Amino acid sequence: MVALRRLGAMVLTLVISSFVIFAGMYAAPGDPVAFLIGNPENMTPERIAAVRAEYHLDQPFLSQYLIWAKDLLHGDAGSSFVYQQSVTDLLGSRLPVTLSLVAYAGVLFVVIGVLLGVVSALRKGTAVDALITGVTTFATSIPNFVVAVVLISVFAVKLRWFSVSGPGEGFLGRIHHLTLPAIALALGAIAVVSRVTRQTMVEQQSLDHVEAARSYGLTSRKTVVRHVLRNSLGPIVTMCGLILAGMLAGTVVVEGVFGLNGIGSLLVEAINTHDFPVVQAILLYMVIAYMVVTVLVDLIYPLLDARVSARSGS
Amino acid sequence: MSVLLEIEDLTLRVPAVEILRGISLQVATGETVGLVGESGSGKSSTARAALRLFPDEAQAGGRISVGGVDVLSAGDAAVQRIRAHDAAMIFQAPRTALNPVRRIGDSATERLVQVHGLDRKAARAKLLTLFEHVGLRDPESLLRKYPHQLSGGMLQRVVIAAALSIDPKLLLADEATSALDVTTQAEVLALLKRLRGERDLGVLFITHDLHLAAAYCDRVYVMREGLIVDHQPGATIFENPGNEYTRQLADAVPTLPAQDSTETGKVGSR
Ligand SMILES: Nc1ncnc2c1ncn2[C@@H]1O[C@H](COP(=O)(O)OP(=O)(O)O)[C@@H](O)[C@H]1O
Ligand SMILES: [Mg+2]
Repeated sequence: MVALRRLGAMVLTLVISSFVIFAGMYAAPGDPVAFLIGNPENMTPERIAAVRAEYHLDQPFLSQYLIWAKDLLHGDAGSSFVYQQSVTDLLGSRLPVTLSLVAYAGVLFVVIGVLLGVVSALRKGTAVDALITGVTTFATSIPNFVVAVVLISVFAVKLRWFSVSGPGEGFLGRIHHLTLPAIALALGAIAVVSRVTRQTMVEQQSLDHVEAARSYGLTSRKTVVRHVLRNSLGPIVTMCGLILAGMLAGTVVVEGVFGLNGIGSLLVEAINTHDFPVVQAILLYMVIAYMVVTVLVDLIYPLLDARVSARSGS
Repeated sequence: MSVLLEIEDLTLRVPAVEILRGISLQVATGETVGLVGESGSGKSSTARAALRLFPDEAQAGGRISVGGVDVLSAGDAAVQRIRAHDAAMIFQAPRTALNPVRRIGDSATERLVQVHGLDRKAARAKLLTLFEHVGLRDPESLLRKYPHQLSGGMLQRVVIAAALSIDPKLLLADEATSALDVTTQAEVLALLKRLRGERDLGVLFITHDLHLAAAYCDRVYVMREGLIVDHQPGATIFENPGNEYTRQLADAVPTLPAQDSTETGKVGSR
């Protein structure tokens, strides 16, 4: 019952967002025919009519949407105005860069963020805690691109540890090349995750069952792992999921600065060249990516805290 | 009989509040000692102190010894040994004393498995026997349940069984039977009495119910505002209350152990 409702909500979200995205493109200034034909000398009435028919531009708005949506359901997102290539192929060739960048950043912000949060919760009130809080607060206040530029000038230009741009060859090459972009992408998230971790753990530390565990001689390390950290996982996983979902749609700036050919730079490129089918497909990908991650989090949470399924279940 | 727990002139203060103002009491092996007083008088704080469990920023003075070890000055390892082997505490609010996100079986066997190093199977077997002793039905399925699926009375029996599972010498029972109905309370009290005979278990029995304490305990201490105001053998405390406050308590408390709000999950103050 709950699963059905959730599924219904997802379908509805997809329908509405696809409609809004399509309508947005439809309303965007400029006649697609002009971009499709390109050279003004070719603008003969016959040519215009042919192009309009090929791209269904002669149909009313609603039928255009329905044609697009029906094709999407069959896995066909149309073809790019610019590349004369299927949009799904185009996205397929760009996705790996973005996904590996986000995965790398995800590993970084989860591992480092949680670690810093745990350390600062366990050292609450000490200089270490103050240092971590100070540095992470500072980190959240710097925009992505500033971090990116600083990283490039220090580690790529000055120290020459990393190349300035490009995604790199092979697995290790890619990891090496994606290191600076991933750090730039992850820095703000590390700060947020470490603060959520610290806050949740501090709240958990003072609960009765933690004192009870201490009262029967559980070592502090085991008390932290089995009670304090264990019970903080729900909020931590939720926060990491939200950040990750946002990141899947938020690589534009970092990809731009580091010259990575991912989805983000494709989006910018497509907007600049009025490549509407590509823009539509990417926006829809972002909606779907966000939805998939948040649904995953919703599925994981009850496994971490059985009270949740009791509350939201039948 | 040897002294298990000896508290001498214990003071405890957190900034701005003096919680305990010079408590002295003793519990010997095989002895059941009542600690009675209204809510907020410092009973729980006294019991916690025996295991060196203090609020943050608390300052303790005086002397506490458990099995001859000076709890306030001992090293961490010695205190750890006392907590693991010598003294077990049954916390006042069973619903919050159990980890809400872990199964009853995991929580209740944690001290046997993680502290005593028993294997999981042996720990479960031991716990199942104790579950039956405290009157829990269908103990096998209980192990797989979560705290929010059980009533306050069932949870209280779970924590009692868990505390007894390590065969402690000293039991610090903080309102341990107050969420139980009369029949179950009688069963649990009988079990504790039997352990006292069999294993020389010493019990510090904390309750707000003077009648229960008088009927069940060898000696009774009456506490008020961080002080011991009366100390009598259980048998005589009604005939000869040593203090006006004791008399008030005797008149105020209902004779039957009430099935209080803990049963529905709402738990009173410590
Ligand atoms: N962590 C704490 N910080 C400040 N005051 C506390 C703390 N724990 C208990 N107290 C205070 O100490 C007094 C005694 O509490 P407690 O020992 O729980 O009494 P009882 O168990 O008899 O109800 C109460 O007034 C309570 O407010
Ligand atoms: Mg209390």
